[in-house]
Amino acid sequence: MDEKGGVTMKGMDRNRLLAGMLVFGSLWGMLECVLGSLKMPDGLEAFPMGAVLGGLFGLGLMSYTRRIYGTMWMQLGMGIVAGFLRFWAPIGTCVVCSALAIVAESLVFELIFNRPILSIRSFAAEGSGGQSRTALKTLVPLGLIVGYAIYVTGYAFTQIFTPIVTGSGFVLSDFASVVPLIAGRGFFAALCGAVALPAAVLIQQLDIDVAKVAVAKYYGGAVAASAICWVVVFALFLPRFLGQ
Amino acid sequence: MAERGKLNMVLAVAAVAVLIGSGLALTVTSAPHGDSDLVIVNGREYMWGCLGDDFQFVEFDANGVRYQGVKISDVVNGSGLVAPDTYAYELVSARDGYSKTLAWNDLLNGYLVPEYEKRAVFPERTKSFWIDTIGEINPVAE
Repeated sequence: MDEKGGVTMKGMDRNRLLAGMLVFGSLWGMLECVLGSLKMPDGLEAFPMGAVLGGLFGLGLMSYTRRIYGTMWMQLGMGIVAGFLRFWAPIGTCVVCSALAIVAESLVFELIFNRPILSIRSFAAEGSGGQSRTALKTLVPLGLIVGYAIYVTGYAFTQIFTPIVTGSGFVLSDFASVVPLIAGRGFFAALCGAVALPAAVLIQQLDIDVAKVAVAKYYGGAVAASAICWVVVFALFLPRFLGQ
Repeated sequence: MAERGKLNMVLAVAAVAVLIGSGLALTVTSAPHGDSDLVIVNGREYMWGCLGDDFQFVEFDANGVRYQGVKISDVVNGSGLVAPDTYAYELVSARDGYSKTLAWNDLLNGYLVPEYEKRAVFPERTKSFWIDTIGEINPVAE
């Protein structure tokens, strides 16, 4: 453990960490591909699915992995894996935006939770020590703020960098027009975050000591779970190309 | 312990501010920004449901999906705009006011697709351009 309540990349078995990054990044990416491409029913077209994906699943998975691995910067790696899967699978709408947003969200998560006072492992220890109510008092508002922050930052990031990356050019008036939209849609991400963070950190049934899982079981499970995620995404978009 | 209490207080105040601020922004931006049955191009109104009366529908593939739509450049030309290639174009969603400004060369690759949420679809830019419920296409100085 370092002074910030997490271990550095060097402190944990590097291979275990990379396998965990791959599994949880793939899971996040798969959820982004599958749910991000859903067509919303009539009357709900305006519902921002990205807010749920970032505020609930993204924040939830990053918080959970920080809890069980306790390793800083792992979540940025997860975001890169998830973003790559999202970019690689051209399902749905603007995949460049989605991929960039995922990476930006994971970076914001790191910047927030690498602060010692917000150590997820400390909150988890409170929960397992019978002080869940105390932890909740902090985690609910914190989850709300972080859910909002990662979604809004990710969305804003894409509005600036997608035009630059794709060569269409950044237009300041376009960005200015979308700022109120981003701020409003973040409302849903905030609500999701208020649920996701406490759940990921405090639910005792989710606790697992990753360092003690048998090697064969750990790596076998990691490879299988990751492969399933990638196959699901592949199976989703392949028929579209075969149908061309 | 005092430090934790202070942290909780700050977080609670910030959380309330986030909820109120984002709730207000959501309320304001949820109001429709135009008639979603119309697309106004250079000030000229077209009914989404009647685009086929004035312009030819063509089939095209984008992202593995077959669409039917009218070329945006045809609609711009049909609006009577002189020298359309000297402008950039602001596409505005009638649903939420989202806007995107594109160069004429990008617009040449775009279609208006009534059946898919009244989207503007750009087959060569499927990874980056998707705007639904197009309400306005406005020429702007480049």
